[in-house]
Amino acid sequence: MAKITFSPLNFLILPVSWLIVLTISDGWINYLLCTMVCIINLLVLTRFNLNWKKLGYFSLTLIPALAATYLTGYFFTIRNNSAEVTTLNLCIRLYGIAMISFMYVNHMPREKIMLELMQRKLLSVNIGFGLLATLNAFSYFAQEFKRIQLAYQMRFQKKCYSPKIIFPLLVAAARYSHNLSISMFNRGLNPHRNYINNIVPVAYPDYILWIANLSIIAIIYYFS
Amino acid sequence: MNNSDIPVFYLEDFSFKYPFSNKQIYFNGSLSIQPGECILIKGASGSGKSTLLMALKGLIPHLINGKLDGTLLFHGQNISKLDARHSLKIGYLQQNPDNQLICHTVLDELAFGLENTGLAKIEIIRKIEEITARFDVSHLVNRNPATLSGGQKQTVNLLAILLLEPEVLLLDEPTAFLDPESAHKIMGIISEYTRNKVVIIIEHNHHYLNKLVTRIINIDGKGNIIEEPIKDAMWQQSLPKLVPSINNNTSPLLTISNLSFSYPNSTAILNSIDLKINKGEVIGLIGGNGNGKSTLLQLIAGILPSHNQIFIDNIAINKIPKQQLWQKISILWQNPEAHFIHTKVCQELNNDLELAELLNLENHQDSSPFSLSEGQKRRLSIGIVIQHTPQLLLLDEPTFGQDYDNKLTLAKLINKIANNGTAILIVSHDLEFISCISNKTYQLGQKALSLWQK
Repeated sequence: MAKITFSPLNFLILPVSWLIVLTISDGWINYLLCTMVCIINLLVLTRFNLNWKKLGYFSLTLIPALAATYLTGYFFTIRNNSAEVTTLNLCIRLYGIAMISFMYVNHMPREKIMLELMQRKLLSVNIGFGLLATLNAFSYFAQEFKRIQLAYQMRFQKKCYSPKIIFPLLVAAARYSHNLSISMFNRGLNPHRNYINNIVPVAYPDYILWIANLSIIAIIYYFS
Repeated sequence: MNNSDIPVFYLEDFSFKYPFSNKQIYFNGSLSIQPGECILIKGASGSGKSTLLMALKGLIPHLINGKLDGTLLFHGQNISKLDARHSLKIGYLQQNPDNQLICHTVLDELAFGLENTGLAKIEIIRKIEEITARFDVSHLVNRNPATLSGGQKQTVNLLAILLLEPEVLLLDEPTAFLDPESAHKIMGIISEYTRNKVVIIIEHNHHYLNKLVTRIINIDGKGNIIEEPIKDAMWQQSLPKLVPSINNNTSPLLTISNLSFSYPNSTAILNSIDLKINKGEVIGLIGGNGNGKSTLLQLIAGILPSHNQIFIDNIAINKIPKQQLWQKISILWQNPEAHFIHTKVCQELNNDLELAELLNLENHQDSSPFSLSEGQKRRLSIGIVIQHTPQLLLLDEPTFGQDYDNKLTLAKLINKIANNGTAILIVSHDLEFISCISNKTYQLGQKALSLWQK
């Protein structure tokens, strides 16, 4: 049986659609429902290959922020009869928005999406390859910053860092992007280029996924 | 003059001034480059050799702003007016293999330039298959470039340029980050390519160029272009023996006993390593790219965790607080800019004029450390790490970007520090340098250390 393939653009279309639905809908049940549907969508898109550990850690890091939001919201609306419910709604809403964004950013095949957008002429080649190079550069900058911190600690024997250590990092970032732009110029980057990777066409699995999502959105609005 | 008489490059009284800088780079005289020539550009550190290569590639008006004067012609045409299609006839390989990789797979990386020419997909794949088979890198095509060793990355960068079939190849220290085996491989690819093409190369490791170079151009301190005769002796740059004298009767400063290490979710990179370093001893450490030399330095410096396997003055380093440990140990990173904090060279060296003179930096005291040439930056970073006279100095590739004279300067400096009692462990691909200054040299290969002899 042929493997079912979804367009990588679903990693952009679905979360953006559900974030809009979540933002304009009302009530904690709807917020949780939106988040749940997004998780199911992501399970389908990634073939059940989610990094649950990472998602768990992210949920934990949200707790202090949500607790602070709850307390602030509660004391702001304390004269309101339903202060607890209102602030709980707000917290779940924020949790849903944060989780949906984080889940998709973490699991999306970024390079495939960029190439797909460039090939479909939805994104300019210069911006697309610039973004791709930036995504590549994150791990390089993290390593470089670690080295700069260590060099500073070893040299000055201090536990606190001076704000000056940001300077070599900025230079490293500027130099990296400069060298990369030379590399792109050197190999003749231009908007009329070809691609060896084929576009993943939008096909019936995508339509089924979209129809299913639209049906759920319709049900949510019918009952709310 | 008919077309065949027009040189590939013609340069006359060329000068360039970077924006917001007082420094001006001059090339006085004329230089004419003909097809089939392989030219080695020599010159003092900071003389503008890399800037010249960038100008020859046509980067200066397009990507690098500044004031450009003089004549610079490619096939009789002003290089600043070269269009993108003609610019592809000039291939340019930079020093650092990491900063040139754009894509997420080697296949995409190799295809990138050909895709830009608008070639059909089937033709692109055919060309890639052909070149990867020819240079024995077919097994790498599906890998992420980030996971490759330095030598493999530079090979991919070079092949990506060669796929565009340039008429000219400009190489800026292509072996600077590579171990000797990878460097020989890169040079093999270049020598196979050079027939009837122009190659212009900046390289401090002259022994790799023995059979390649047909002409040598020297840029002297005043920017004069001087043609040098090729002499056999110049390919071997022997440094004088500068091995420090040591007292073997004292207890070792550093002891490594049965050290094994692996990164998380990875196989062991070091296995059962034993090493002793006495006070005032210089130890060389060589090995292929990715063999764990830098990892070993980081373990010794306490940056990576060890468990009672590394001892300094008979105390396990994992039991010494980091601040105390780093009073005893200093490490020189491969990237010199990681050490810079201040805006002037003199501030980085605590206004120590004597040290600046030792490092040949006395004329750059008021310059920004970041605006120095690569070789000058490296010497400055060495000056920074030796300032607080550590007991153990760990140097990662100290000779990168150094010409013969500056290597000699560094060798003397290292010898002086060692004779004052500092133990030094040097990781380098520069076998000549290592063998001239170290008491012992070890080779790290197949996860273990073995004594190396030239």
